[in-house]
Amino acid sequence: MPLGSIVSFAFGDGLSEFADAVTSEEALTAFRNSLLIAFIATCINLVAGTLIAFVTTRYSFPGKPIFRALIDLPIAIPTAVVGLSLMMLYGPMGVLGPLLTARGIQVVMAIPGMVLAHVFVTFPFTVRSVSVVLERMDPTIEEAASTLGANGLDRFVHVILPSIRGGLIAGGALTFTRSLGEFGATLFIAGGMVMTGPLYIYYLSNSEFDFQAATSVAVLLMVFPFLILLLLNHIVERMEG
Amino acid sequence: MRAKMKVEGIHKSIGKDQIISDMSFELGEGESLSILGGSGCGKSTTLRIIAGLTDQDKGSIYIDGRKMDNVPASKRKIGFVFQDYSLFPHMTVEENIAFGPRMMGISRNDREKKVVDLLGLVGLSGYGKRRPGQLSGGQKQRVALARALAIDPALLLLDEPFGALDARIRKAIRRDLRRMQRELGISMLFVTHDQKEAFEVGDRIAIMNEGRFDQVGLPRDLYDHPRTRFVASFIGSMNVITVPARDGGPPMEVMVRPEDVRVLKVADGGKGTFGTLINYMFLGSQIEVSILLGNGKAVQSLMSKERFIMEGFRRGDGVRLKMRHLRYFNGPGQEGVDGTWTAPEKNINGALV
Repeated sequence: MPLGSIVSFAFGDGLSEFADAVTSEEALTAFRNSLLIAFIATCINLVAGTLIAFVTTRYSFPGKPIFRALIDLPIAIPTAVVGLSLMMLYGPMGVLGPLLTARGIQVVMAIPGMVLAHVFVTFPFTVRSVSVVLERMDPTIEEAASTLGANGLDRFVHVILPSIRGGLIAGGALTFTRSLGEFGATLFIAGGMVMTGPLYIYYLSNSEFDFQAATSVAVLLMVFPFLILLLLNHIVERMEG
Repeated sequence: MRAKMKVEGIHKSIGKDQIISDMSFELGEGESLSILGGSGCGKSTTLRIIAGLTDQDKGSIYIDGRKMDNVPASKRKIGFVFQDYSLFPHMTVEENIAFGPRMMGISRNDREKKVVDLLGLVGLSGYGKRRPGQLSGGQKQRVALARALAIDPALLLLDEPFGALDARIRKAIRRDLRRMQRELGISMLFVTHDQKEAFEVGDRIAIMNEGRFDQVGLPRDLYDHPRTRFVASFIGSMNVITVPARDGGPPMEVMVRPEDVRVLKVADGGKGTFGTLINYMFLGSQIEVSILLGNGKAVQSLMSKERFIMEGFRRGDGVRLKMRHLRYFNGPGQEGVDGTWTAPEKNINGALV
């Protein structure tokens, strides 16, 4: 029902109005920023998440349960808290902020800060989906590879990576789409200086009161991630079939 | 026979459990040795240590005279076949077999030739493009075998490779394995808990018990001259009977094979051990007869079908037993003197009634 009402609102004034709204200069900038941030955050999390998944499934160390709970924490804490804490760390009044600014590095109210926020918020996705696959993997397959002359790197590239690619695709898709839709933490970090898709909707509806444009952008932000998930599901199914 | 591999004083504990204790043996060039033992006796761990997949606590492995202790599994050139196949699920059959040669930097042309040869050897020509998921268990294990052979291994190790297959397929693949091993002249260690399988695949058999080899020998030696009580009871079947010692000491246990227990009708007269025929079972050409002794224990005997019918045995018949090749093992468990002993008949009789 709510989704349907958005669609009807978006196309209420006709198709050309919809097209105008989603191709305006500001809308395109917002989309571009969103895609860029989501892409970088996904790349970072695929690498870091796989590493963490590897460590937590293969090795035991003191405090492992606590470490695992910490990984899931970003799901549980409000995104506004994430945004606020990053602001407090990297912002003008934060600990690291002034130091970095003095060296010409702008973190908050810029793309790097937003990537940081998104990496944090979406961190559990890759770790979780890759961990599941790693735990299910038959350890003797790697041993078989060793006896056939594969060293550690060979085993990772030829045996482990192909086995976890389903998990990587799933984790990457969740990270990417979640990042596209991230609002709470982004709002804090952006500080009105950088626009993303969801922020643009907020801006259009709360400052401009242009609900036709806001709903048009919303439809796009709804359909696009859906298509991504659809496509990736299809790929994963083909791979396993 | 030149030693292909030597195991010297291997010890391995996991936690408090001693898995392997002071194991030493040699494997000849081109020899096939079956390691036979119950579950948890340490036979799989032995193979894993030789392959470099598990580290030993003490002792050394030598292949072609070269010490292997600090050589990683990937550099040992030892073919390993796992019970659950462990094929790479995302690769085709061809890619699985070519994996080893590829890791060793062999050219694409040579790899392709090798794959064709090996697929032919294991009887799977034409299956190269399939994936492991499209194969039966027997076919998967043939691929695993081809994959292990593709690295021209110095040694082939097989860890209960046919355990997951059904009896008919197991027999066929076992025979093929033996043929291939002879043709290629490859040295092989074969782990199993199945006596028949061990006898069929191995030139020699090692009987493993509680982390060590009780006896290594030809199948016939193990059957006719078991060195320990464990070997005697593990190979073939054995009756265990309590008798007094010859010199009037404490009672002792003797073992006798069913075919060494001769059942006679009481009407024949004479001395011997007396009992009652309580059951019989057709095994084909032979009949297994159960005799209940005076001490409440049952003894099994084997006799030919012809004799059973001619003598007209029935359930409930009173019978007399004559036993030969009685064996006893001094001391507790494995240690002590072993040998064959024929007790005076009246002694046995006295003990049992």
